[in-house]
Parts: sequence; structure tokens; C-alpha cells
Amino acid sequence: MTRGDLHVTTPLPSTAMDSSGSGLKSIFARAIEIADPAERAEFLTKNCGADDVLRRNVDSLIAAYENAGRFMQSPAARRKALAESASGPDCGTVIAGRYRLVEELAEGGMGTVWLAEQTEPVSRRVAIKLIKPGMDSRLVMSRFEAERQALALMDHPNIAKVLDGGVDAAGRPFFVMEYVRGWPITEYSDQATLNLDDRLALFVHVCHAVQHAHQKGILHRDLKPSNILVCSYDGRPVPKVIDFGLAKAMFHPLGQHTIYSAHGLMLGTPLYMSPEQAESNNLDIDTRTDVYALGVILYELVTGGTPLDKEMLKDASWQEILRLVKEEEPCKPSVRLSTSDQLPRIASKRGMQPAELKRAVRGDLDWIVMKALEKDRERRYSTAAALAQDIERCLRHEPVEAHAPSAGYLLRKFARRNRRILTTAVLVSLALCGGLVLSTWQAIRATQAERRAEIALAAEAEQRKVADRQRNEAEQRRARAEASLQAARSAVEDYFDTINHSKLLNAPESHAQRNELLQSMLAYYLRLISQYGDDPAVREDLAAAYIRVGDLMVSANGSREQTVLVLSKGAELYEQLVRRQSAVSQHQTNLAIAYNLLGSAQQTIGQLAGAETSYRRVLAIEDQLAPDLANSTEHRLNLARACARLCDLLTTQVRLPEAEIVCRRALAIYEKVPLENQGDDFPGDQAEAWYHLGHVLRAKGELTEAETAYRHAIDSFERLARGDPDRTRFLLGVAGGMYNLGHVHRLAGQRPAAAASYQRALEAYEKLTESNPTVGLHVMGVARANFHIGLILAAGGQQDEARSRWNRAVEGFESASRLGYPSRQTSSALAEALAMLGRWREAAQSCARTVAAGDDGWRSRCQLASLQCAADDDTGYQSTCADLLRSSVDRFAREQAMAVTWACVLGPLAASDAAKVVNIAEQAAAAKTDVVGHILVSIARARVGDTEAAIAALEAIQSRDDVEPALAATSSDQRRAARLLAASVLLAAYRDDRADAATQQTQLLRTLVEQTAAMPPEFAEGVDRWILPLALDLAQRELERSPLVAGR
Amino acid sequence: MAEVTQILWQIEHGDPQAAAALLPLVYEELRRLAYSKLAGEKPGQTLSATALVHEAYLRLTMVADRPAEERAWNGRPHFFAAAAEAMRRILVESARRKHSEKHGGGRRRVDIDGLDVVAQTPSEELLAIDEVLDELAVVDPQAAQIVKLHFFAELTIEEAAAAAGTSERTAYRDWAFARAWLARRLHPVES
Repeated sequence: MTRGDLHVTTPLPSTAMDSSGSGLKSIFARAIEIADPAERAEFLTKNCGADDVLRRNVDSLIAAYENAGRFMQSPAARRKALAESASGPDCGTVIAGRYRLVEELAEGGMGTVWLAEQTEPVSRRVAIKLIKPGMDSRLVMSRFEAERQALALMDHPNIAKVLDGGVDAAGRPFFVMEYVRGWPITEYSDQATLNLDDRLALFVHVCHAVQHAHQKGILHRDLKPSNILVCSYDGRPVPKVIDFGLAKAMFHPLGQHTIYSAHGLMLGTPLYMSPEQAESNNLDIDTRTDVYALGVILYELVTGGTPLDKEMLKDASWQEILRLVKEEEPCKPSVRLSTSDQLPRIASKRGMQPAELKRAVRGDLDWIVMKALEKDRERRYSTAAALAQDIERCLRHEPVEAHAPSAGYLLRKFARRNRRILTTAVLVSLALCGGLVLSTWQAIRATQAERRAEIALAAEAEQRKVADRQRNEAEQRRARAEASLQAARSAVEDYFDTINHSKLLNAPESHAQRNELLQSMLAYYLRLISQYGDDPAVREDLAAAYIRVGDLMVSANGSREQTVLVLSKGAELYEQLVRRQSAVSQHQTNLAIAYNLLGSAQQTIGQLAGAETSYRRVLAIEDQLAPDLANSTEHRLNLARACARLCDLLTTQVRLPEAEIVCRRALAIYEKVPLENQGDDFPGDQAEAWYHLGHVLRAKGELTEAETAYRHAIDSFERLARGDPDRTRFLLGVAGGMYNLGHVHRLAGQRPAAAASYQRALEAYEKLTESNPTVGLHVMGVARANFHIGLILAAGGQQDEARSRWNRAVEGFESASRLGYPSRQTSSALAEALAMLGRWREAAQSCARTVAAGDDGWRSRCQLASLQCAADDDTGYQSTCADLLRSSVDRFAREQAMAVTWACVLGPLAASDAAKVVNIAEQAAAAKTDVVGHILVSIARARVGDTEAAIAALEAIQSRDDVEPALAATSSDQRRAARLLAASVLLAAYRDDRADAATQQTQLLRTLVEQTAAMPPEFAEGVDRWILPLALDLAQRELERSPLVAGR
Repeated sequence: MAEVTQILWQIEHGDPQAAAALLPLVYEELRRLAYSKLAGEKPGQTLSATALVHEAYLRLTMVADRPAEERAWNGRPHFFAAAAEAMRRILVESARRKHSEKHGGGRRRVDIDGLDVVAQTPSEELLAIDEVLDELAVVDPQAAQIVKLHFFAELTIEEAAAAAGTSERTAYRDWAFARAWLARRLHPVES
């Protein structure tokens, strides 16, 4: 500062002499520290020197200092000074030109409430809420204006209307409301000693009022007893909810600004704040927020205190308060009453005895209050009306909607609240596990059904009691328990291992029990998973749990779609872990295991593309690994397993070369696994790979090699079964191997060998069935073996014996279906057996079930069409064909084109569909040497009415040198069937002018029918297994029907 | 909340605009705090400006994921300076209103201040002090600052020294000097 400044601002001569503030100050400060006047004078003389102005300046300051007395020694702040800095106007003040303040009614955090007289347009008494300055009045008003229209729509006897709002002369917002002279609902209830029922009845009115506002789109957001005033009209208490819509105007729910503006203002009311309001940056408040506040008020009406104790909040920091609101689980009203030393006083305020009050609250009312107070609003009453209804039910002693939480829900809830508090959940779940294990062994030892019923009954009866007790226990133990969820998980895992690996439980007769127990385990795992949420620390645990659950679901025959979902989640989590911690080889291994399980689950439900992706992912992981990891036995085994399964998958898709490659890769891996590293599953896995290789080779027509592969598999399985006769898997391997070997022999034309193999398969399956008659797979095996033995018998001319086998097969397939074997497979097999028996109609129905069961492949549809045709179901036939032709586009694979053509030439079709068939047939018969194909083209042409072309085509085939011997040799069922059909179709197509040709065809057809009926078929695989009997049947019928033949 | 922390950080790092933004925020917070405190106040409880300032500081700089002890950082003096100025304005406004009530019309309300045990600086004097404080600030800004911190915001001399960034000894001297200077200015001693 400069001297010039001083002159301008300080006119006093004395200050003008402050030549140096610091010099002056320094001398002054040191001088006043010298107590002795003489000494001080000496000091001053010495330091001021000849500067008289300075000396006078210092002297006057010292004098002022010594005479200051209490000057500036009292605090500047007066107790009310701060409040007065914003204190409102006094009585008589007129606000906005029309409201004259009469009396101050209340003072709150936001402002003061005045009774006022409105002068215009009507003369009436109103309540005016004058907001203290410090809020942004412009914002408050704009928010109020936004809600004003909605507020005007509210019209309810229990709501005090908001009449007006505005800004006073000083720029402070004010709100005008209907004047209610009443007491806060809690105070009123106590003063009037309302009993519990009266309180509830009063509260129901409040709920309805809130519901009314909600229906008009208004939330209160700040419900508390002081906002629910009860006044007495004609001696009847009438509650009025005030301040509707004001909270929204006052607290803008956006951004950080709110949070700190909320501090000061909301400090008085966190008792009624919902957990979602305590969330920072919460933009998402809805009607259930008000329901929560209603719950708090109800709690207070019932127990005399709020769920969160006022005392507890008194010294808590704001953060702590928010945490308490979000996490602190209140105890039930009845528990609060029981533990309160105020109980006698509280009861007397309700005109009741303490015991009477507790009894009245315990049970339904507890659950109603707790449901309204759920931290998770999804679990609260969704509306105030629902809360009111439940209270009314309670008053009428009817069953209420709210109920004791289930044990599983309690577990989830504790977990959500805090991992530290999980201890409680752990205790609960350990206790449950213990109980479950006990009942497990009882169930096994005793006769099952009786015991199961007993347990189920006990569980049901105990449920409520148990839940209740657990909750109380949990509340008491919360503080001291210190275990971790891991303990619960390992308990559950041990239990799982016990079930899954116990020989006793794996014995076939315990199958049903085992499944039941696994289902209950599954429920446990799902609960444990749901506790964890997204905590990254437990991601790995979670992944493992998913895989384990998936594994369980497979074992327990759970919903296959669900299994795939669960395993996908596990695989996905492992993918994340692999990405994040690529060095951890265990993740890679687990990923491979997950995908192997997932792939096989996907395969089961027909998600073939998904399954292939899963298996190929395992192959891809192996390629990415470091060599030492890739060479570890565990990885090799996972890889081999994926290869073997992929092979199986590719085989069913007839992608045979690929299938063979991956299968041989699997076998090569197995061969190199050192003996000491071969785990329990190894020999079985290796045998299965041989088994899969057999399938590929058989499909490729390499029958000798296929036989070798099957024999490898059978030998391994037999050896294993001898070592461990309990292992059903090995016995099944032997049976399946024999059965498939029978196929190989049959295809190779070795009927006796085929018969012998099928017979051994039959015996193996029968043995399995004897020891456990309720397993669908075993029953299925018996039936299939019988079916094929029937085929061999028929080929040997033993029609009656064959039919008896087929009848047994039909029974077997039906009972497998009843035992829960997948209907897609049972109904398809059943259709074939019925077709062999000539029971076309039933066969068609069964086949329709296959299609309905989700097998939308063209194969089963072709089968269905042919069976419908044979069953004379013209409508069904035409619609199935139309389906086939619609879904099939121009470019079929040849095999598919042939099959579709076969299906579609069997009977007459609509003209447009028939024309499509000609195209497809020509496409199928692209090769000149394909005799069957050309015959089919001929039939198709005849079907569209192009008889000349049809006859010409057929004659051309017959005239060819290379064709006639093939046709005559009857080496193919398809050729014979085609000729039969062609002859019969043409017969129908001949007109009178071609009577000679017709006679000729009739003759030929008769001969063919006779030959075919006498000569047993050599049965092909798959679709056209019954083509010959079918063609024969159709041809015979045509022959009988033909007017040309009949006319002669 | 984070807003204040951010501003303090900016002041620390030499952003001259930031200090201007701090005052209104602190002012608002102090007032809000004062309302809520007074509303919930029980008889016999005393409300001090320093308690308000400290609480305002904690609230305004409260960062959700940091414990309180970590918040004790260098931005504190700047905050107290702003708080002192804010508190001065609040008190002066209050005093002005009281003063005008005495001279103007309006119905008088019962002055419950009379019940208070602790004597307080009369509002006229407060206004007078405030008026000449600006003069002192010209002569000796450091001393004027100590007045705001110690007298208006009711920080202890030690706290005021820390907030003003001087030694306690200097702060004591500043306070003595300021008090003498203001006393002489307002109540000249007849010599």
C-alpha cells in the first residue's frame, strides 16, 4: 500500500501517520509485552527516535489497547444471529399482495410455516410455507411450476391441497397450502391412546391418499409423521398428508449439488429416507420410495420408534448415516418391542398389555412392515394400495400377501448386504447342509418313497418356523460370526462329491434318489452363485461354481437348455480370466473343461453349430499354449476329449473326412499319455474314442476298418467292466459296441455275424435292464437290438419271427419314452418299428412327434411325408411335402435332394409343388448312371401330368444295356422300390389310347410285386429303410385300384 | 462436495479465478448448516461459529472414498480464509437487520437472546467493526485477516495463524494490534 491510498481512504490524521504499518505494529507489539511503564517508555524512546508522529501513534494505540476492556472479546456470532440472517417476516406482513401472515405455526429446516389469511380471490385461511433464503429460488420455483398442474389434479380428502406458490418481495419462495390444524400422526395416536387396530385403520387412509397422488403422477418424497397431520372432524380422526410435491421442488435430484444441499436440509429426516434415496447421484426414485417411508411410519406407529434408531444417528457422520440407511437391517417390530425397555410405556400408549401388543404384532404384521421396508424395492409392496390391502387383510384376520422370507432369500439378502456379514449366511447354509446330509442317508437306507414323503412334509411344515428362527438367530449372531463363504462352498462341494461319487448312490437302484439329491444340490449352488454378484475377487469361484452346477445339471438330468446357459456363463467367465491372467495355466485348463461340458450339453439339445464352436475353442486354446503347458497331461486329455466329441458331432453331420481326422488325433493323444498320468477316466475315454472312430468308418463304408475300431472299443470296455462291474458306463460301452458291430456285419452282408453281434448286444442290454429296470437308455438298447434282429430275420425270410421282434421293439420304445428317455429319439425309433410292421398310421403319428419334439431336420420330415402317404393321410402328406419344398432351396446336397424327391413322388401333390419336385429330381439325377434318380424324374413328370415324357424317360432307362442287369439283379432296395413306384404311377397315368402300354405295365408291376414280396429286402440305413415295403404297399394298392386293369 | 475440493486444489495450484468461486459455496454451506443446527438445537447448547466452519469444511470437502484424516491437506488455509469472510458477511447481515428493526417499524419479537449466558458483541458494534475493518485492511491486511479468522469465524489464534500462514506469535501480535487499532478508531481515548 502507498501513502496516497491511505489519504484517500482514511481521513483521520492519526492513521495518516502510519508511515509503516509493520514498523508501528512491531513497536506496539513489543511495547505491550513490557509490563513496567518506565521500561516501556525507555523502549519507545529508543525505537521511535525523533519520529514524534510515530511515537504519538504508538502511544495512542497502547492507550486504546489498555482501555479496550471487553471490546471484541465476546464472540461475534450470536446464537440466533445466523438464523436471523434469514429470518422471515413478522405477523401482518402481506405476501404476494394477498396473503396476510397471522401466526407462525412451525419452524423447520426448510423454512417457517405460517397461518395466513388470504384476501383475494377468496377470503380463507391458508397455511403458507416460507422458504428460508439460501436456496436457489429460481430453480425451486421452476421445479414447482413444472409440477403445479399435476398438483392441481389431486383431489383427496386425506391430502392437503397445495394451492399456490410464488416468490415474495425479497425473492424467497413460498408455497400456499390448505390449512390443517392437526398433530403429526404418531403424536396424535399416542395422545389419543389409539390401539393397534385403530392405528392401522388410520394408516390405511394415509396409504390411500398416497396412492391417489401416485395415480396422478405425484410422488411425495418426504413422507414423515410431521407431514401427516391428524385432525379431528366430528370426533373422528382424519389424517391429512401435507407438502405433496414440495420436496421435488426443494431438492433437485440431480448431481452432486443435491448431496451437499441435502446435508443441511435432510439432516433431520434420514430416518424416513429410503435406501435408494441414500444412493449417491440417485436419479431413480419411484412410488416404492414413498412406500418405504410409509413402512417407516407404520413401524413407528406400531413400535413407537423408527427402524433406524434416532440415538444411533445422532453422532454418526453423514456417510455413516447413508450407509446405515442402505445397509442396516431393522429388526422385526415384534423383536423391537420385545427388546425395548420402554415396552410397558409403549403398550400403555396403545391401551394394551405388553404381552398382548407383542402377540398382536408378531406374525402377519411383522411381515407386512418388513415387506414395506425391504431394502430392495423390487421386493417391497409395489404400490401404497397393495400395502393398504395387506393391512386390511390383517385387520380382517385373512391371510396376508407378505410372508416370512425363505431361507434362500435370507442367504441372498445377507450376502448382498455385506460380505462380512456373510458369516450368518454361512451358518445358515452349513446348518441346512448338515440337515440335508442327514436326510440323505436316511433316504438311502430306508424304503425311498415313504421317507421322501416324510421329509417333504416336515420341510413344508417347518418352513415358516425355521425361517423365523433363522432370522432371529441371524440377527443375534451377525456380530460374532467370522467364517467366510468359502466354508459354506466347500461344505456344499463336499456334499456334492459325496453324492456324485458314492458307490452306494451310484448303484442303479439309487438312481432316482441320486437325481433328487443332485437337484437339491443344484438349488444350493444356484443360491450361492446368486449371493456373489459381480465381485471380481470371487469371479474365479463363480466360474468354478457355474461349471460345477452345469456338471450337476447334466448328472441330474436337469433342463438341458438351462444347463447350456449355466455352462455358457462359466465358460464366459473363464474366457475373461484367461484374457486377464494368461499366465495362469489353471484358467486354460478350466476353460477347456468348461467348453467340453458346454459342447456336449449343446450337442444334446441339438445346438450343433454351438457345440462345434465350443469344441473347436478347446482345440484353439491348446494351440495358443506354451509348449510345456500344451504338453501337460491334463491339457492333452482335455484336447483329446474335445476331439473325440467333435468327431461324434461331425459324424452325425456326415462330415466324415473331418471327423476321422479329429478322432485319430484324439487316439494319438491317448496313446502317448504315460501310464502313471492316466486318471480314472482315461481308459473309458480312450475306448470311447475308438468307438467314435468306428462310427466314422462305418459311415464312410470302410467296414473292415470300422470293425477293427469297434473291436478295440469293445475289448477295452470289457476289460474295464471286469475290473469294476459297478461301472454302468463300461457295460454300456460293451453293449453299444456290439450293437454297432452288428450294423457293420449287416451292411457287409454277413447275416449270421450280424445276428450274433445283435444278440450279444441284446443280452448286454438285458442284463443292464434287469439290474435297473427304470433306466430309459437300457430299455432303449434292448428294443433297438430286437428291432435289428428282426431285420436280419426278415432278410432270412423268417417274417413271423421278425414281426414278433418288431412288436417287442415297439413295446420297448414305448416304455423307454415313459421312463423319460428323450421323446425325439424314442418316437423316431418307434416310427421305424411300426413302419416295418406296416402300422403306417401309428408310425406317422410317432414320426410327427419326432418332428414336433424339435427335430426340424429334413430327414425326419421326409420320413413323416412317406409315412403319411402310406397311412393315406393326404392332407398331412401334402402339407409335410409343401414344408419340405418350402424350406428346401435350389441347391440341395445330393443326398437331401434324393430324400426329398423320394418323399415327394410317393403321392400326388398340388401342381406348383409337383413342378418343384421335377426340378429337384432332375438335380438329384444329374449323373447319367444314376438309375434310381432317373426313375424318380420319370415319376415326378408323370405326377405333373407329363405322361409322354415320363414314359419316354423310363423306356430310355430300360433300354440301356448297363441298366437292365442292375435292375434285374435286385441288388438295391431303392431300385426295386423305384421301379415298383414308377410302374404303379405310370399305370395310373395311362389313358385309354395307351391301353396296350398300360396292360404291359400292369403285367410288369404284377411280376415286380410278386418278386418283391417273395424276396426279403436287404434293408438300407436311415431314411429309406422302409421304402421297399412302402413302395410294395403303394404298388399293390394301385394295382387293385387301376380302372384300366379292372376294366379288362 | 467434490466441487470445493476441486477449487481448493486449483487455488493450491495457482489458479487465481478459483478463489472467487469458493466464497459463495462456503457462504451457502455455512448458512445452511446454521439453519439446520439452530433448528435442531436444544436449550443450553451453544452454537459457535468455529464449530460451523469446521463442520462446513468437513462436509464440503468430504470425498466419499477417502477417510477424514486424508482430507487434512494444504487447501485448508484457503478454505478458512473464505469461511472467515463468509461468516463475517453473514453476521454483518444479521446485525444490520437487527439494527434496522430497532429503528424501523415492524412488530418486535421476543428476544430470546436475553436468555443466553454468553455475552455477545452488540450488533451496532459488530457493524461498526465491520465498517472500519476495511480501513485496517488497507493499513495492515495481515492483521485484518486475523480479525476475520479469529473474531468472525471464531478460530483460535493458533488456527487463525495456520489459516493465515503465519506463526502463532505473529498472529498474537496481529490480533493485539488490530484490536487496539480498531478500538482506537471506534472509541478514541480522550487524552
